[in-house]
Amino acid sequence: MTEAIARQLTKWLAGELGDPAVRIEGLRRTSAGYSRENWVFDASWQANGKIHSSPFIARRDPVGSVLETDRPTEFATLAALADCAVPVPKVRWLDADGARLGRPSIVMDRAEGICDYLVLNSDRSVERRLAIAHRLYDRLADIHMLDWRALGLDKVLPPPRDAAAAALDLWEGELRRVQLEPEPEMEMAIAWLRRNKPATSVTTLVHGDFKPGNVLMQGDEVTLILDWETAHLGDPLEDIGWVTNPLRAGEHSIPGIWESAHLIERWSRRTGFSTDPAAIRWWNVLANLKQAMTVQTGRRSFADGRLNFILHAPVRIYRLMLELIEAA
Amino acid sequence: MRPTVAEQLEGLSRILSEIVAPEVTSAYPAEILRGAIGALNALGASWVKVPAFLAWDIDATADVLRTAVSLLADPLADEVRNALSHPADPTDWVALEDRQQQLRGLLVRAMPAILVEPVGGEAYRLMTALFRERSERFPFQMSAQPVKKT
Repeated sequence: MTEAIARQLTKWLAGELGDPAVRIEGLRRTSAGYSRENWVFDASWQANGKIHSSPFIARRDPVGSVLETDRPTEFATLAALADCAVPVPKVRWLDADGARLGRPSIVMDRAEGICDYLVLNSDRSVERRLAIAHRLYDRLADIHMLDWRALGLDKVLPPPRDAAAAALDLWEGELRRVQLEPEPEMEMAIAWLRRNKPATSVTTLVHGDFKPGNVLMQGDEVTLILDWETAHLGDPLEDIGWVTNPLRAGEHSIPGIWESAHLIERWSRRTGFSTDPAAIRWWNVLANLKQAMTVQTGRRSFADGRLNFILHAPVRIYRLMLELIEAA
Repeated sequence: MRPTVAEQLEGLSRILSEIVAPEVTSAYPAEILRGAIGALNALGASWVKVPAFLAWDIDATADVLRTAVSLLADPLADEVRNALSHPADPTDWVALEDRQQQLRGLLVRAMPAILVEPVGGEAYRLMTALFRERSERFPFQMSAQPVKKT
């Protein structure tokens, strides 16, 4: 498969870079990324009498995934964010319909750095980890403070009239599309979410999957925010519900030092946005529904012969949803 | 019946680990292979628990439906009564799987009535107890641990 991708990429980039002799080297599929195929490579080409070379990454839709998202939307979102205060990957070229690589794909610049999903609980000192936590979640606040109208994001991402309803409709629709069997636990959570839906606090850009594992770091510095495939306009409390979800506390917290209350307090101070505890609880439950839906999508993809690993019913997430609902 | 199912699964895992894996050098296929071996090992450890889990899940779901049936209107109430009066053959694994799906499907359809019951209602209490215990008894982890790189 690698040889075929190399041929297709060479042909594609020859056209984009205006050099029929463009060279692709070091092409390999990385193990990172459950939702997209990530192909890293270096390209060298001639332009204006000079030789150029650059590292790139191609993100291609897989045959089967744990998450179905749209490459043209991701490309347009990243293009709109190119010069904003939040550091995002620089997108180069879009293959919207798969004419170039067989399936929809994006080529973007590849930056140096490390994604460490457990960086907040790494072997750095507590002081360094706390400083990293501040930088990480200040970046999340920065995303929420972007002027999405001025960036033209509303031309790419539809602003919802009711963010909670839009999120719930989306994920319930996904369940109906992919479920393999009756899911009473999911239905109970959906019914509770439908009955207790909070009003939209404010409409902002929402990352949708903010976590240390989706942040590129050099040393202790945050250099890029990655994985914008679920970005949308919505309620920023959706991201807050995501990063304070007890299920992912091991990634987002430093026990006793940096926990949900610290994160919410700092985020609220930086953004000036409200933090209604009942609304955050609602978004915590929604976060678990989303998390469970990636597993349901993966189960369907595996059963259809389109995913190369097995996922089983996320009963631990069901249990957590029930506990959150009963504590509300 | 030798090799037993457990012995067959264990043997297949050994073949993949010892014969195939060392020859797979590309990073992505090697990772997928480690995941597949991990899943095979998880299946080997847990498959034997599946029939007992299905039987328990069917009984516990039937208890919820039996309690909830008075909250339901016909024709759903009738359908639930009819389903509860035709148990599956406990020695037929496929029949148990079908029965589990049937009852969980009926529970989904009964849920609106269960959820409007006053908090503390017996059907609601049994249903949430089922969900809790089910999460403890479920025979598989959400995703198997891939075997380590050698």
